[in-house]
Amino acid sequence: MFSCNDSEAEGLGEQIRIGPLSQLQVAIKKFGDDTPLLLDYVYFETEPMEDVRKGDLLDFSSAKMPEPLKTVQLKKIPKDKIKLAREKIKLIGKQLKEDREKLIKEEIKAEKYKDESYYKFIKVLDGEELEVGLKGTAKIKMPQ
Amino acid sequence: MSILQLYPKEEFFTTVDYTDFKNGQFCWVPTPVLDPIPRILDIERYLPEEHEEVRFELRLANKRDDFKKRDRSLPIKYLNLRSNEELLAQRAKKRPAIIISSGVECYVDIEQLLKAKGKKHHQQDCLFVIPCYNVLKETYGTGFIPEQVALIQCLMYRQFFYIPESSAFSELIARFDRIQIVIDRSPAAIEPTNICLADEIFDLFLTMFLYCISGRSDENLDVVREIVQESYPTP
Repeated sequence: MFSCNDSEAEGLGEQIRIGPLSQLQVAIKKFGDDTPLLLDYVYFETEPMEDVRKGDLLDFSSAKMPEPLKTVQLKKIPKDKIKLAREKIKLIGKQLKEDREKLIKEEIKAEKYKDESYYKFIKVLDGEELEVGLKGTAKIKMPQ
Repeated sequence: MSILQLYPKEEFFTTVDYTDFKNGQFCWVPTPVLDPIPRILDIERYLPEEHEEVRFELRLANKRDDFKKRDRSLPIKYLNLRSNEELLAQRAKKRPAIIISSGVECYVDIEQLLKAKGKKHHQQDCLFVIPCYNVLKETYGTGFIPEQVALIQCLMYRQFFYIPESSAFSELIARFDRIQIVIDRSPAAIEPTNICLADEIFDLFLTMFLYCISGRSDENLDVVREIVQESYPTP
């Protein structure tokens, strides 16, 4: 007989690195409530089960290690081009600053039209907040 | 590298006051997992005379009369749902997010004007934030894969922006295609950090966002993208 205490299970999750943990989570999600699917996977899609006969010892050394992450080696940007790019970004900033200043001026102009009734109207448009405190039972019904 | 060749990590960030809610500031924000089809929490009274005991059913919002005016079962006081409204349910998690627009930040003059009129609250309008997602660090797991990260670092995806590791976060990808709105400043809605994108990085970030949503670029951005893209290895 085996039992699983929830708090112990949570602790276990924290001790496993994110890589293997996410693999486990994917497997549990996929096979957790589908034993035939799990058996099919183990029998037909795992390396130790390839070409074995009843009674054979399974050779787990044939299991493939996951491929390491590939890294993309980027080329070095010449110094003069880095300088040019940074100058261009400064110009972008200058343009954005001018745009923001223009927006402020326009906003000041528009402010005189925003009286109490404007803000009341905005409030009405936003609608009421959803109240909290409702309790009940739920049924989850989703297509597979 | 690439974008990091223009600005090393040390120049990427600056520190700000937590309470600033400044453009470029990193915050923690509840971010929904978007379902292609919204999920409705269909709700009805458990007993006809009972307001507080209810039954729910979580289902896809794909019935013909969802969100349409119709005769419903007895109304539920707490929910106050109109005849063309539904209750939605979503999974969500707190993610780092970057403030891309904050009214208070932009309109300093207006803030002073409103302060003088005693209407400061009128400018506490919404924040637009860009949620950030992790980069894959191991062979398995969630996050952007290295091949994609390299393309993003070279500004080759207009909907993504690369953020290097900072004192508070590991490498991140900001997703313009998941932009969100936050309408409150309480910690339940948004938890600010003291980390912020440096001014020049934020200007580039904002210009990339504008390019993402409109396709509108300018001569300066074109040059920057061209230079950065040259660092991507030719196939």
